[in-house]
Amino acid sequence: MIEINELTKRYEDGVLALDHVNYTVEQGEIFCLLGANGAGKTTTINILLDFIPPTSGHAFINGHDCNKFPLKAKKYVSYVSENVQLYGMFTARQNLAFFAELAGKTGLKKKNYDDVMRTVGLPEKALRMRLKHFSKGMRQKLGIAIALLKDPPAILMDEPTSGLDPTSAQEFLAQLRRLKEQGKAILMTTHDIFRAKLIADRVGIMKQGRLVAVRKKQDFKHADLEEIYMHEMQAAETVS
Amino acid sequence: MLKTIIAREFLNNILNLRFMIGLVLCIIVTVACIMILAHDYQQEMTDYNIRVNLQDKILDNYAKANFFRLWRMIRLQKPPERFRPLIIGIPGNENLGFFDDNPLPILFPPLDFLFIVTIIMSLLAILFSHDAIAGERQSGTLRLVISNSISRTKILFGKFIGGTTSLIIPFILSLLVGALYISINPSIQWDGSAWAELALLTAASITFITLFYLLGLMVSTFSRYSTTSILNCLFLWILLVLVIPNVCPYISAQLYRIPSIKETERKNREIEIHSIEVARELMKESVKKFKSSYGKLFSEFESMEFGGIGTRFVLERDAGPEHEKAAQQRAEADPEFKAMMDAFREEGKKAQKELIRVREESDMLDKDLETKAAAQTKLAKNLACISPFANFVYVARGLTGTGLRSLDYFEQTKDEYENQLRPYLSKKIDDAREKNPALEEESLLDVSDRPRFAFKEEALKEKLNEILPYWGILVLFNVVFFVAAFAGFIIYDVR
Repeated sequence: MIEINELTKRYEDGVLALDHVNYTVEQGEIFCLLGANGAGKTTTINILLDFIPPTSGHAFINGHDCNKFPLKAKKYVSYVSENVQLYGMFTARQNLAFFAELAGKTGLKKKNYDDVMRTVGLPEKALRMRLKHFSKGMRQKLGIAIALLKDPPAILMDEPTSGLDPTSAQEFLAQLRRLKEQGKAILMTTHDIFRAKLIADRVGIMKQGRLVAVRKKQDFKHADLEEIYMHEMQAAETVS
Repeated sequence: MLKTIIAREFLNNILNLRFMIGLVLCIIVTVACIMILAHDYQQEMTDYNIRVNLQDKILDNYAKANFFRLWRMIRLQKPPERFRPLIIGIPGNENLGFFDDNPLPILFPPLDFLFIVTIIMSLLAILFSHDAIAGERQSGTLRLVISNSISRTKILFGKFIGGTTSLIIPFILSLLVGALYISINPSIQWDGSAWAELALLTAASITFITLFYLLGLMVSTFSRYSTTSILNCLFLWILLVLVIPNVCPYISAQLYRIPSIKETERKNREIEIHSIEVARELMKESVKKFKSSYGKLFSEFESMEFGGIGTRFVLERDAGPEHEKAAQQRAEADPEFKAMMDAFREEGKKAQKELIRVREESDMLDKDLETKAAAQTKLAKNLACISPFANFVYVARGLTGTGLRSLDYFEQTKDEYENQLRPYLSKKIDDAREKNPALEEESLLDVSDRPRFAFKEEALKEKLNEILPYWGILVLFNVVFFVAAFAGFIIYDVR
């Protein structure tokens, strides 16, 4: 569903953010990208959403080149950012309706909104609340609700659990599992090794723009993922 | 999808505090301004009617059988512009004394419809649009919007339509309230063409307001932060609204130099003095020549103060009517005296001709100054076209007949009326003389059937011909700013 092929990005200031990166994310799979700040995790997402063009290589969503046919590619993807920001003066329902319409979902009924709010664990009365009164956890949940209303086959998440309290983070992970069960391909960037171990089917470890290792669930299910991460980082350091 | 963006932009703006401020400000200022100006209009109209009626009364009762005195009695006055309840016009010469009563309009810009559109609405437009892109980038919503399958062109277009609609609503609402006040005010009588002009004025104002909205949008697409955007917008606003229109007359004066009015007046005075001296010399020489040729006969003529011929030059005063009469009688009795008098009259005509020739030089100077001043004004006007403010002022004033062109148009209609009046007065005096040969200049004359002056507004078609180029420039500014905003947004880094 998501395919990264020899993806390279060098910024105008000369920084190599991505260096010939290759991986795929299949349907019903959660792929977590781990790495330090500046490793290139967010750059990958930015290229997938056509926020920036790649220097070379390709990124595909459902077979559509994200750089050449961005509008086609973005039909099949939803995006949940580290800090979901919505229109503060609008109610949750107005925000949901706006983004659903942008995703081509028109004529949604109250029931659709109630269902999606229940699914993400937000009370129905929150639909009538203005977003400026939402906590960060509530906003993240509403971000998921927007993604759910669009109902795309792929979801990109950029540090979605950052800043969430433990209860909200647990609820969030439960939500991710449900999405996975629905067959969504989920690409998630995170610093949180503990939660990546809990949720990921595969993890990719990135260092200075390179994908230095990809580990399957069976590799880290009974091992210490943090140890694997540190080991791979040191190995990459030695190679470079 | 475009509809969604428009609706969101519109809703977001009207839920915002700045919309409420804009709405309240617009309605209060526009309605208050129309009410105050309508009251002024009413007063000016009353004054105008009193002046016209008084003049009519004087002409009906005290017109004398002297063309020049009669001509001086008729002073045509420009009625207050019918758009006076909206826009304060340029005062004609007869109103310049107004300054003595109230100097504030000279010191501060008057609060009228032009002020509301060019200052208040243009600033509101910038306030609405400066953060349309940069602000959304900062808050993070732009990323989420662009992560959907929607083109940036649609986003920009939607923001433009939604934003301008939310901006124009308070403006139209306040204008409607003002129009309602005008329509129910019995002292303001607007015909269909006035309402058509108001509709066109509203359309031109919307073109001007959208232009500043697009300016804000354009600056926003080249800014990372809304604070940078608003500062850049204000800088451009000051440049386009305050600096360029005020600097252009100075640039024009530097590029196209003309002699000063005082200098021309001084030269004219010199020419006047010189011309009189030349005429005087000519006549004095003639007197010498005639004295030697005619001897006693001319001395007799001299004692009659030359029958009034050329006395202004020779005696430096006018001869009395008794001298003219005596010389005339003498000439009728004596053919030789008559021949001498005719020859002297010819000399007088020569001196007069010389005087006219020299004075023509003075007229040329005045004409030259007028032509050069007109060319300088035209250059300043054309230079100022790089400012949307100037173009809008030309459109609004041209359309409502409150600009310089309206003064020219008044002069034109005045000339047309005077061309009718001149033959009427001459014929009237001639007919009266024919009926009564003893008619004196102090005798009363009945001019009650004289043609009356009725000022009519310039036809809308003519006004449109004049303003369309400037309106076109405003539209062009809109296109340029939109294209620039589009170019900026296509490469805009939404991160």
